Order: sequence, then C-alpha cells, then structure tokens
Amino acid sequence: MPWKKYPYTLYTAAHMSDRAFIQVVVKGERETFPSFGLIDSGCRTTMMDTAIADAIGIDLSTCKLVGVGGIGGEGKKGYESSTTIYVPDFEYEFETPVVFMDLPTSIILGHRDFFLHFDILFQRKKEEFSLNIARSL
Amino acid sequence: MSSDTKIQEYNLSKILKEEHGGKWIAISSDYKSVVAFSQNLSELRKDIGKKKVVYIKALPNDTAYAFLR
Repeated sequence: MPWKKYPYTLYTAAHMSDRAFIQVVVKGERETFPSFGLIDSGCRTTMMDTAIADAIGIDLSTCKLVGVGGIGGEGKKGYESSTTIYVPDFEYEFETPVVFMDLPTSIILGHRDFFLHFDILFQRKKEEFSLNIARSL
Repeated sequence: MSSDTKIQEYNLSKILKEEHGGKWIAISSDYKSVVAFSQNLSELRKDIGKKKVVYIKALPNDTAYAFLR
C-alpha cells in the first residue's frame, strides 16, 4: 500500500490554525458517524466527544468512569468504552478503546489504537503528513 | 517511502466562520460548504436526516488548548 500524503488542515478562519486531521467514520452497532479525527501523538487513548456516544448508540451509564489528565489539567472524568473506526482513504477499519468526555473537538486519534494500526510521518516543514497502514516489523 | 498519493485537502478555514465556534457543524461531502450547524449534535442529525455529510465540532473561538491552537 503506498503512503498517502495530507496537507495540514486549516481549521477555522478565526484561529487560522492548522492541524493533522483525517476523515474517519465511527461505527456503532446500529449507527455510523462520519467525522474528522485529529491525530495527536501526545494522546495515549483515542478520545471522542460525549455527543458521539449518543449518536452511535453507546449508553454512557453502562461505561466505566475513568480519570483523565493532561495539558488541560487533572481531575476530569471520562467514560471508557470501545468502538470501531473506519478510515475511508485506506478502506481500513480497526477496533479501538475510546474514552468519551466533553472535548473542544470531535475526535482525538491517540496511540490506542490509531498509532498501532497506522504509521505516521509528520513533516511540519513541508506542511504535510503521511499515513500508511502499519506493517509488522 | 514509495509512490505517495496526494489526498484531497480539507481546508475548513474557507467555510468555518466565527459563528460556528464551539458548535457542531455538518459539512458537505465535498468539504466545500456548511450544510447546517447547531449547539446540539442530536438536533443537528435530525435536521440533516439522510443527507451525506461529515460532522465536526468546531473549537470555541476563545479556546487555547495546547493541542488545538
């Protein structure tokens, strides 16, 4: 499979910030949710906004409550679950643990398990990043 | 790295405006226009129905999260 090269996504006119976004589809048992995921090497577990749980039919009251820490501070709580993420550009899907919590964006693709399924090359100076399905060593 | 394939750019700055900050946005499948937006995702999904869109939660205009700004 050849690598696929992406320009950084300019986000909003207000911020003019650019980020490593790709399109993904979150798959629930009955519903699917097409969205954008932000690739974040500083994030251990993939995270999604709580509204997505409702959209794909996950009942957060049945999920384990876990503590979440990071740049945004300590003492926050999230709901641990799992889901399937489909990446249309590669026609590839994988199951991943996910923590649902209130986020300022839709999805943050973290090490568990996006980084286990994709090799990622960030080339900030060239204003692009590249992805490929991870190959076994 | 061999024979890279260039993927379509999602330049959301051309379509996302300040009024969209902090809201859920439904973007057309060609990424060229905002179809609708709302504070509430479930209401937005009801309005969209079966139309093919991609959803994104736009960061609030005053957000300064390290991973977002």
